[in-house]
Amino acid sequence: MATDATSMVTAGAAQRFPQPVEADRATALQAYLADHDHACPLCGYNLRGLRGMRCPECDFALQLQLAIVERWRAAWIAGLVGLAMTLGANLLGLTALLGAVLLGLRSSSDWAVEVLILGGPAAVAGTCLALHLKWATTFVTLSTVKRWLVVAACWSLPMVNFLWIMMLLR
Amino acid sequence: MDPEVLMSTEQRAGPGPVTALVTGTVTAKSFARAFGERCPNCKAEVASGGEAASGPDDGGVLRCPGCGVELQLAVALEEPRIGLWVASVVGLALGAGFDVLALAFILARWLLDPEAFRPTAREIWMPFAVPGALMCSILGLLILRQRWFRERNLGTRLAMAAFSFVLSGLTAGWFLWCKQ
Repeated sequence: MATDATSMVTAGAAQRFPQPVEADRATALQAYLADHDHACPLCGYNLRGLRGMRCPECDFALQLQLAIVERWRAAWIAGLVGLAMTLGANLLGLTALLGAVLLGLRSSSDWAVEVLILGGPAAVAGTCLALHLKWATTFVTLSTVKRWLVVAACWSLPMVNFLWIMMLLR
Repeated sequence: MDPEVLMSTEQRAGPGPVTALVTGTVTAKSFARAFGERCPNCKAEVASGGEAASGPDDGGVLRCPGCGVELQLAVALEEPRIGLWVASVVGLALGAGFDVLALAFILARWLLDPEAFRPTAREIWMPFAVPGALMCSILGLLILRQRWFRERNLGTRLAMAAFSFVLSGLTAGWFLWCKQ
């Protein structure tokens, strides 16, 4: 009985305050741009006084949304590039090594050790890359200093990798 | 604000948060309330618990109750078109990393022990230096010309992302070919 009453109240509220539809989003966008200068995120065209939901210059569909104030993406991409370069160095090194063995270009019998020398850092870099992608939401919440410290850590990985290879791969 | 737009909105939605939104100034808080917006970072519901934070008077700044990041209103693309760009960056960075590290390894060995290890210019330029410079240039261009990439249609972006991985794979193949 109580559940029925609750559902009736909920249904009534839903009728009184229907969910916003796309047209209302368009209205909100136009209302916001009526008195704000805002560049198109793609082509940079000034959208002040926009009618409709498309950029008049590049014709891409636009929407008003909540966005993160902090500029975090550059640091995140910088970290991503550092980790991807480390992964690539080892992964493609492994591929080249196995290719050389298969093609008979590699006569040395200790290539299995070299697989471990390259495979270890590849696994570490791959794990770090996966964590960097997975923890992007946490990365956003870090302070600017901490964010760039993470980037420095990401770029220290190729340096450590280089020293590792210099020591072991003679 | 066009009165006709206002009228049509009121007729469609009736009195409620949407009307409040479009008749007053659009702020981050009123927008979040009207559309039940979630935090773009942690997906927490901002409308109920979002606290107004100090910030510029351009629609206000909200603090997400879930992760604490500051949020503001922004005009964005309906489809962000960033995923394939990130994939392309990763794809090219893989190949660039291979060439740069291999080149650094060869040069370091040469500098540390020039008597025992003396690579020819051909052994440096052909397999690593030229493809490395090429990969780094394309990677740099891709990062600088992000907008250009995002303007392409889905098919082109997919092809470019796939090509970046293939190009990286080819650097290892090129090295083997040079060694032969």
